[in-house]
Amino acid sequence: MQVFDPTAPVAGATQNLRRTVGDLRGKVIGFIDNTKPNFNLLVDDLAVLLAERYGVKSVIKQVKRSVATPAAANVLDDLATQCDLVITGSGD
Amino acid sequence: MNSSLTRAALVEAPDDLDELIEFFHARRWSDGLPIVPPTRERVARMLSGTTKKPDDVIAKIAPGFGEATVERIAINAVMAGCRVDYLPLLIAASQAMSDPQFNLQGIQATTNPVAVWLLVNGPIAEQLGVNGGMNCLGQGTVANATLGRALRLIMQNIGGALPGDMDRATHGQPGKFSFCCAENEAQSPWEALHIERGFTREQSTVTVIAAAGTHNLNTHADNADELIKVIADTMAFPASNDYWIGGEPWLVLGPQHAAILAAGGLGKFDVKRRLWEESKLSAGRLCAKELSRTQSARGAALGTITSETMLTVAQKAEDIGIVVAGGPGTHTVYVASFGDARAVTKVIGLV
Amino acid sequence: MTVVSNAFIGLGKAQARALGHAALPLAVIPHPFGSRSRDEVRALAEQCVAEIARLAAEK
Repeated sequence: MQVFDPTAPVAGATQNLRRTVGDLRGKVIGFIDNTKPNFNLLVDDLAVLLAERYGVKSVIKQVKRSVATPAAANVLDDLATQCDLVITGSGD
Repeated sequence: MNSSLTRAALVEAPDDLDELIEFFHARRWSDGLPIVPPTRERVARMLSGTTKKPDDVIAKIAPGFGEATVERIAINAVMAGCRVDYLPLLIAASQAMSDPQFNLQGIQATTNPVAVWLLVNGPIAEQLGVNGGMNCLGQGTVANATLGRALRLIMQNIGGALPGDMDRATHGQPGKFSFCCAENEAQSPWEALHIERGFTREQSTVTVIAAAGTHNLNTHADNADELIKVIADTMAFPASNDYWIGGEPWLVLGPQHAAILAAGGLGKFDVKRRLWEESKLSAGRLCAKELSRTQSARGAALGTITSETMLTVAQKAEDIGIVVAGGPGTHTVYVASFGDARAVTKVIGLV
Repeated sequence: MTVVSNAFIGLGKAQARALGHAALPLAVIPHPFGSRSRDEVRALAEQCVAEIARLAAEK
């Protein structure tokens, strides 16, 4: 018999290409802390290491209100304007 | 809009019912229970339950952001065993859960067991036979069982949240199979939920709620003060999303408990206010990592949070949801919330 | 780029694809991460920063 497929095609089938950041020297790196335990500490450590070993120019840290809430639009806009690379967190 | 994306595809499947059911399980198109085959004829009949066009896009369902067209909602409704006149409720529910303040993205992908609870108000509850009385959160009513199930299939099939893949629930909960009831408006001493939320008595609505679970409160408290106290004490537990986020917990008051509160002179908002005040939890009862998360989530509102801070279960008393449902008995159900979500109510468009 | 604990790689990939960014680089750390001690976090940061630098340069 014929039946309908109940699923929907995944949206965003058009995929954006990866952008290569390249050498991190002189770059501005942003972090969005998802507030999961220890992520703030990881961000602190990464910020130090990125500056010391990879010569990044600066690190901008932002914190979400809570893990399952998206970052505010103005926070995202600011990071997009100021940073060469933005790093988020996912998991536990 | 490319119709090949908005119109559902017909696929060739086994004629034998047992084999057909296995065909759906193999593709992970079911919830683990047998489905009603969504044939062309059954789906066409289901679509007669609305005047909307099959390719009307009602919502995009996170986390896959698949398009919930009227036709796809109807297909999943057929599979769940819904009757034709249930379709408009599912259309409204799909709209409601895609409202940004419901945070379906978080609900679908979290490790939390959160289920989507459908709460039905207004004349449609009786018309469709949605149970708000005895065993309203249990088995045995076609509308409650199949509407909740259909919504789950929509979330899984159209939203793409398959358990273990995008749905990261650590345990989940039985309410993820189906979680649907009506308010017992006839036995409520107060205005019904949809009226509280700005709709008229004659309108029918569905409210979607991010429910972390159900916890029964069996108490023979026979006066309002005692009843408020035991309910508030039960709400206050430290490993609760509501306290560290400032959530939106709900109470399903049994009619007997609601009558006791009303006899004590309390209106619905009085009950919310009293529960909000009396369910405060000392932040010192949270573990250190939760305390740190609480600071991130609630610091802007509460300032520096120390182990001495008394945390409220919700950011404001109004955020505690109260409905009256169930049958006779000394029971009330506490529904702790996901925390990062706000209930959304939509009118059910009749045909 | 997203730092992801390895139990969440599947979600990260599926979510990125759904949002049209299938090529989103994922810097993977071991799961569970939240219960690690301060020193363990430092050690993981050492590994993670190298991974971030590698992914940033990857074409």
